[in-house]
Amino acid sequence: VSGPREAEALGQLLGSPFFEGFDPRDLAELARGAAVVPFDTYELVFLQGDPATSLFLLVSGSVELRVGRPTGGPTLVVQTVTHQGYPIGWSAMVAPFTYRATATALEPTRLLAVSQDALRRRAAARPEFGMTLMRAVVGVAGDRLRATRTRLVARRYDDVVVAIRDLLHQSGPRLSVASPLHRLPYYLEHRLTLADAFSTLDALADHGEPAERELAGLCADLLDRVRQELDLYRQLQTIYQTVAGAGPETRPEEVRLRSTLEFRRLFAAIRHRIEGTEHLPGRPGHIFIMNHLRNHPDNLLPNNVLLTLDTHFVSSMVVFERYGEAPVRVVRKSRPDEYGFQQFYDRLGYVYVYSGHVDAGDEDPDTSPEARRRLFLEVAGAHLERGKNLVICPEGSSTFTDRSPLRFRPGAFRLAAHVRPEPLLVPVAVANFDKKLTATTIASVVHEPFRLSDFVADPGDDRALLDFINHQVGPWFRDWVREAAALADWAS
Amino acid sequence: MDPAKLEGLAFFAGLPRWALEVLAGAAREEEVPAGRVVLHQHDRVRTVLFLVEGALQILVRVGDDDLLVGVLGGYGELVGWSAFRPPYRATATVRCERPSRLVALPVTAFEELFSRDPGLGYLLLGRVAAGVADRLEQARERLVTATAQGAMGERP
Repeated sequence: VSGPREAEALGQLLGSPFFEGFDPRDLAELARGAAVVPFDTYELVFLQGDPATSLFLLVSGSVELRVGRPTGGPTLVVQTVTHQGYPIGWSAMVAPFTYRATATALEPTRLLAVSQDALRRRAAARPEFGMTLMRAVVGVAGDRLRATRTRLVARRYDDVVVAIRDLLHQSGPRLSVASPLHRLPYYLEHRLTLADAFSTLDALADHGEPAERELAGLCADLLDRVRQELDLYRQLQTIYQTVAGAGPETRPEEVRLRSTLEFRRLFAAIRHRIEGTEHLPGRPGHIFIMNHLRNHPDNLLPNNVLLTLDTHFVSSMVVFERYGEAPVRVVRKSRPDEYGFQQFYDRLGYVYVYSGHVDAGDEDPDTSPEARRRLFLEVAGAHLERGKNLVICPEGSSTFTDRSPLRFRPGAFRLAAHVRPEPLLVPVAVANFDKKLTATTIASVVHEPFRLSDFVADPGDDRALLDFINHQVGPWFRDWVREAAALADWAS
Repeated sequence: MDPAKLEGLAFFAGLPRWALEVLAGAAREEEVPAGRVVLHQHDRVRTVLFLVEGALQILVRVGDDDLLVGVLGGYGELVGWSAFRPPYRATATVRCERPSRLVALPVTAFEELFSRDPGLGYLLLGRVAAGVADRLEQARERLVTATAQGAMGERP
């Protein structure tokens, strides 16, 4: 070799699993014309359909390969290349010599570019090299075909574990019986061992045998969504611990702020749409009423707590975003067996409402239902009068997006009537929080605020109040939730 | 088999006469009824097949099920590319969807040809690679379609 550039190129070629078994003299010849090319984060390496003029080997960084249909429409990430020496753009050696995917650097990345001309020239000069090259291309294309079929299997069965078992079964002849990869399907069966699955894959990707490295890469691609779900789950655990584990000296406002900032980090990584923020009042001190959606059971924490993601979304991404202060939520007082919730809500300084369960304090005449209603109006009203926003789900229960909303209860409206100056009721419709957050788009739409007194002359008239809630607010929300769901679908 | 007939398949187009004769001497044409399996997943592949007429299903075994991942119907489509790469085992099962006619060629005939003329090895292995790459593209297209349908709430 004649210089450092050529020496680096040769080193990369010799170390690449793609060129394993090639005659070093052929690789030295290729190194002469090869060059390491740097790419910035999100810089395009090549575009699907473009003439394929170079074969690349990954030197450092990572590259995403994405494909779409020739007719346009959605695209799909088919591979994330992170292994040093892995070939990208092997279409440069295969008719019709157009790139079959779009390659984009995901971080500062260096690729060794070997020109198609150099490969062809060497194959013409030494056909044995050409033959070995083509066998290597058949190998890498065959591996990708097998990986794609495995993903089809995963989609068909909606079960990535089935697909991974199949992949490992197919790879049996190439894989040592002692390989840690065989443990993977078992790790994937339980959420609490998911992290072990990923540490196994990461370790093998770095230090495994060649077949293990390649299979670990294929499995990691297949498990991309599972990894996102694990990350989400860990974030939920962190948020819970941040709140429930806050020291007694920490004020509720401070705990709310920390929780809100953590939730903002979580939601920032999830596909979401927010519309209608122009309707938000200029100053705080109002009641945000929203439909309430169930949580996906996958988000259940080990202590049986499901954090209500829709309300945290509205609190952190809509209200906090506008006013810079976390709102106070009104929540149902937890049942005695729901100590995990109670521990969480107590630290956040939320306002409680009661839903009929009996605990020791219920025998006290001062905590009769009427006394509790009064207490709620006083405590919640005081927050509003101090210019704090409140977030309330008037249904008192939760459901799925396509069945939302349930019938609204009057408490939030009675609170609005109780407080002077009369606060605005700010409607917010939400959709898709009942689905797997990594596989959907969540949406929230703020609608024009209103004052109760503009619709109900005497809020003390129960019939008039319920008539307004059931026959006006209810139908409005039904339409608004459909609209939010359509917005989410469109965004997907 | 008549070398001229073999040359009619795109895979063999442009080969010198002697090469066609070597391959044609080892080739045989087969009529295969619908439903017959011509290649079993995981089996060692010793014969390369070319579709002349009919249609072939590509199936992947998952547990007790065979999942259909593609159908080949093009004249001259190559089946059994695993014969050219380690570990030389079929990655899928291939079954006749309709009564089909196939040209079968033992991989040893190819290897003999490649050792006599590595240039032909380069050419023909390039055509094998193109066939696998085309199949990969079709599989990816199916995956993109299935994923898009999944996103809209439909099941494939």
